Amino acid sequence: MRYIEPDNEGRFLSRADTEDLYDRIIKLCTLGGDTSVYVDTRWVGNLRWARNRISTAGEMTDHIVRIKRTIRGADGTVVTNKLDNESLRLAIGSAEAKMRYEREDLDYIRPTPHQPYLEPDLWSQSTFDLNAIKRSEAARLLVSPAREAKLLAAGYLEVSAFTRAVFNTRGMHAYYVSTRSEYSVTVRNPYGTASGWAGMDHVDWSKIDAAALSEKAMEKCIASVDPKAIEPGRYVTILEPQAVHDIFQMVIASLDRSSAEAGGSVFSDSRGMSRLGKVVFDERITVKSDPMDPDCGYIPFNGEGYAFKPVTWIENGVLKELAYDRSYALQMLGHGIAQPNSYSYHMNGGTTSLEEMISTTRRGLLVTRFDGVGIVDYSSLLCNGLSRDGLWLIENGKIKLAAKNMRFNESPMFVFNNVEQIGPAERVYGYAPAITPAVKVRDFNFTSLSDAI
Amino acid sequence: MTSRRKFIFLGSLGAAGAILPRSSLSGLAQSTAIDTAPRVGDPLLRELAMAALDAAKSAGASYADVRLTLTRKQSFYYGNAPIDGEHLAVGVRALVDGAWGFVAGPRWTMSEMTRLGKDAAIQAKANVWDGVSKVNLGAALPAIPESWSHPVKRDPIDVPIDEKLDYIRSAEAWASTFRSGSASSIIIFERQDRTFASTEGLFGTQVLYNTFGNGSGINVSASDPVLQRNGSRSVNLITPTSAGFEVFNDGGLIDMIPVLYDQARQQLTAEQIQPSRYDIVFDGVSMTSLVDQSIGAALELDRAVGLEANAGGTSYMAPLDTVLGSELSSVKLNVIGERSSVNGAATVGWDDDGVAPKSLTYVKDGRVHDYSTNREHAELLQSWYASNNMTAGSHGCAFSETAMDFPLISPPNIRMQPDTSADRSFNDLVSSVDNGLAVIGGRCSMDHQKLTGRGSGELIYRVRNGKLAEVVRGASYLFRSPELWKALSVIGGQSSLATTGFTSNKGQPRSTTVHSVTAPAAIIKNMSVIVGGSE
Repeated sequence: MRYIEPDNEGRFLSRADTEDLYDRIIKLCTLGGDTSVYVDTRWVGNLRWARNRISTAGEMTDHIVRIKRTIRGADGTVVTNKLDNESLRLAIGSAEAKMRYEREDLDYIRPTPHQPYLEPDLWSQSTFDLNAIKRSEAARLLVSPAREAKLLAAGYLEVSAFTRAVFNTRGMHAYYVSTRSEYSVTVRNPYGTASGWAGMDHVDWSKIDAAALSEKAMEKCIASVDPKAIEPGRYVTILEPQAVHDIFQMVIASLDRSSAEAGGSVFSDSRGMSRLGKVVFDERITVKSDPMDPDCGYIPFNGEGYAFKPVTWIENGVLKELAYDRSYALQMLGHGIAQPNSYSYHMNGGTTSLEEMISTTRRGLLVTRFDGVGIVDYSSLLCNGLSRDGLWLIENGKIKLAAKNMRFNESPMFVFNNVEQIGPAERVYGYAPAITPAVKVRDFNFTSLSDAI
Repeated sequence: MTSRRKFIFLGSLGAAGAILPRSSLSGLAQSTAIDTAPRVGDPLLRELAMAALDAAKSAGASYADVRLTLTRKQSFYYGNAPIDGEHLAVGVRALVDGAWGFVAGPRWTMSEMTRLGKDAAIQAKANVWDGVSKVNLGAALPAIPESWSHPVKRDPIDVPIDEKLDYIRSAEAWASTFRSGSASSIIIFERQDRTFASTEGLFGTQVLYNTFGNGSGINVSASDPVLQRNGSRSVNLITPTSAGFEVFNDGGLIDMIPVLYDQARQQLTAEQIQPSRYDIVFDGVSMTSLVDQSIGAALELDRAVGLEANAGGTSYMAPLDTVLGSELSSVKLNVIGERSSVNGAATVGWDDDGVAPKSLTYVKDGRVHDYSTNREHAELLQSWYASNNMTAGSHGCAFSETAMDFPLISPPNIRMQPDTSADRSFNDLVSSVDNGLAVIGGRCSMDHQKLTGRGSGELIYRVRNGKLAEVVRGASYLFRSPELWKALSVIGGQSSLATTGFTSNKGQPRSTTVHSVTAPAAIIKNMSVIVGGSE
């Protein structure tokens, strides 16, 4: 579908506004050299509630302009959100004045010429139209089941529209607009002995079934009352899609070719080679990114204007591609086309339902999501973190009891090589769009108990 | 060993060597000033603020406030020329029938003020729900001064770039004179003019400074090719502070490099820790992290009552009526909050509610005494305040990153009081332990209720017979907040105090604020220590 300029009601800069801004900036850059202009604008409307009433709500707009001037390889950068000519003139002067502290570099890589990019439909009128009145009404309806059940709901609803633009004196003129909506909710009981969570983000507010998510969080809350301590150790573990994302996003962030070749990355092989072409995961694991993905699309170029193409990172467990920037492409591959990482991904699903995973488990754990996940060791991608908002012990194919949260020490590289079953993939909650399945894995390493609920 | 004099010499060379030939620069501006927005004292600020407030009132707001923030930033990445930044924001909050509306944008024009004021009131109306409690701000506030500023000696934005670059490049050059030593520095200087005005007649502009490093510091490493071992020792070059450029002038940190290098070398031969329970002597830096998480964050009122349940989490310090007055520690643990100390990262003239902060006492002689509050939620503590003859009202903890964000309860500067009866140093504490560990530069991370945590140190010594013995590696300490403070046995004195600046991320959308935590060294008994994993 072709991209059609929406009526933005002055909430962000249109393509024409952005081009006009760029023209004004270029007229003020009188000393020659190269100029790159990065423009990010956004409108955000949000509503937050807790203890079944609105806590904060608001609407904001902003536009941030970054100007980079380069003369003979020395550069200077300035960032501002004042867009009048006099402010821009001073800002450009400030960027240019920085060059005196830099070395000349006649081998420097000039800015990228324009790269054609794909045109996914990322505009949702239902997201853009969810004004303050509609947000308040939606939230009131979402809160009432929890209130009637004498539970406490804390939720967050956000809608936004944002633009990304990269223009430069070598012809780059990338501009795109996208909407985004997110909903997440935590339901707790008044005694603080149970907590459940559910959430999702999407371009299109109408694709988020907020009522169903609220229901799910409530069910998790009710089912997790008075958790019991179980012995930490290695367990057969069913990770719901959100829990998969919470650890797999560390893999996505590590898909970098130059750091893999430099050594010390999880995708490093011996002697300065990456593990491209090698088996890294269970053969059922395939991971792709595609700006045109109808359920998981995103702005088709990155902050530098490098186009995102459809890419298969991992195919049947084999590492097929790693991201690289333009200077890597020029130096190592002899072409100037970067392979940027959007951090958005789609992991293929399987056919085993969550119920079937549970019913085929003799003894194991079911995880809703993880919190505070951090990388301890980059070379093995060993992570630690905690389960949160719903952990259950399964025995003989049935949920036996709500378990107390536990800390884990585990690498996704180990987890996704120990896969038993894979469920259907679904959209989860993240900063970048992501689709993941639930998976059942062997020997997930829980190391200590946490009493936090 | 390289002398300090040599380091200064290297530094100047480093800066001079990088300057471009003048020929290619003839047309470049000499000045880097980008400031065109009205600053503190400009009468235009009051006109803009009043336009927003008038519009909110006309549209039906019973209360409204407006904040204008002008954020001036200069960021130095790894010794490169800085990136200057300027950001304008204005946010209007309006109350209608006990419900908030909030609208923010980047334009400081009269017509935009009118739009924001009106829209904030319209949004507030949309947020009125039947059958829920109304926002109650309590008594009207006293006036604030027209202007206020952090008492910096040298405004870091105004210090010549050459001088700042010289310092940063010098530190890197000095660290690299040691084998395997390096300093990586991201140093950001921020100056923010924050104007506040409300329909209660308050008006003022305060100038706040924040100088901080972003994951930057001096990292000294040593390696032994035979044993195939690496040792490293890092310290932050700078953590958030409201001090001006004078914070760098004493050069104390750079002088530490030889000591750090020695400590890194000691780690080469360190043996792995034997997992067990140990009495631990924590240095002041390690204690700031424990106090920040286990007391400071846990005693944020909004966390404790569940308002942050869907974001950062709740708190083990709940429910309020059972926690207040209960015993946290059997020793004389005293912890206060304040926003007035010189160089304190959270120090302000007034908060985002317009409240001039007074100090508060979180923990009094081992008992929980109070929470961080803002104007809206302070009423939750009314009965406790009444029964303890305390003045009701906000402690002035409302804050936000810029006027784009709705103000939330944010940590003030937090201070664990040293023992005033005896000024025991870190080494004095070590000398009172027969068999244990000493942790230097510890950092901890905690769960979403601040109930259980895990920490590790930059450097951990075995302590035997009151002396620092060998360095050990791989140790992490695990703790549960209530047991941690019950196991606190000795508190160090004035000379063991350390201050660390922390950032606090909160809310949805996320807003980041900064604060300082000061704490003395202390001994905590019988802590569980395991092998592996950093914090």
